Amino acid sequence: MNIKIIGIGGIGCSLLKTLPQFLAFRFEGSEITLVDGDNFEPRNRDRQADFEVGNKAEEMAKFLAKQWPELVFDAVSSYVSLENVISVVREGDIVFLCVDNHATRRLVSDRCQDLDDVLLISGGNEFTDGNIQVNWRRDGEELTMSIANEFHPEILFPRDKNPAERGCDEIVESAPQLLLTNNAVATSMLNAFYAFLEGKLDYDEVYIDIFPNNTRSVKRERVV
Amino acid sequence: MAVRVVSGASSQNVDLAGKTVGDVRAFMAQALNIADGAQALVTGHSVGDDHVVAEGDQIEFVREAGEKG
Repeated sequence: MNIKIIGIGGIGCSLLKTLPQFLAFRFEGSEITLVDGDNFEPRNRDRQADFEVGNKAEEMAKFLAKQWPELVFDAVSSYVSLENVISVVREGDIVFLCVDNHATRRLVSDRCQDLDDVLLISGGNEFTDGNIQVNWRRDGEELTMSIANEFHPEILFPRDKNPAERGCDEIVESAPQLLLTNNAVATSMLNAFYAFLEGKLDYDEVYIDIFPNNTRSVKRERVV
Repeated sequence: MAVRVVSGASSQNVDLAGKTVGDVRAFMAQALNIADGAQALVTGHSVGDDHVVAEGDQIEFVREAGEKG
């Protein structure tokens, strides 16, 4: 199994507390590539892994490789961009997209549309709620909807920028996040992955809200 | 006469059949945290605020995808 984890922030770190353990005992030998151009910072310790310095993808890959010798870990220490998306997301991949901007979601979504076989599971959140979207393509057929679709114009026409496109002097304000919401979204992403493995994946999207403790899965109909 | 109003992970059944989608939006905005300008779907299909809802309809006000991670 070839797995890509794009974004090693709050959701990505939550995902990586569980996914390797699950894979090590069921899919030994799986290759997991972590992708992120950012470095760990002390201010992220409340939600992300507790590393002191270094690129997130590289540091996390080194740490996980020691914990899980049954798996193969690799790192791409740059943001996904137009220049590298074709080499990062490949035919047959299972992609967990855990980024913090819609521009990258659009970029990865478009790349997946070029592939015949790919599973893209994308997660994102606000402070106490969030959602996941699933794009499953098999033999060139779209079994669940692309994540940049008419129901999500904020992804189809993103107003933000891919971090690789931001200028060096561009400062982006980060909204505060809650670890528990990151965790809830990561859990839902893993649930979708398990449903896929078991042949029971039949939804495009899941909404999550931690205050009422609700989730709702949705199967959308495309307007032809 | 009940319609089901959905936004994000939350939903409520309300007696608003015969009202417009705009009426439903205004009535439920706070309870379901409906964003301004949220797309309205009735039984999965996009409609305008002047659409009149019928008993048994499900109206979804589509919540934007979570941005952060």
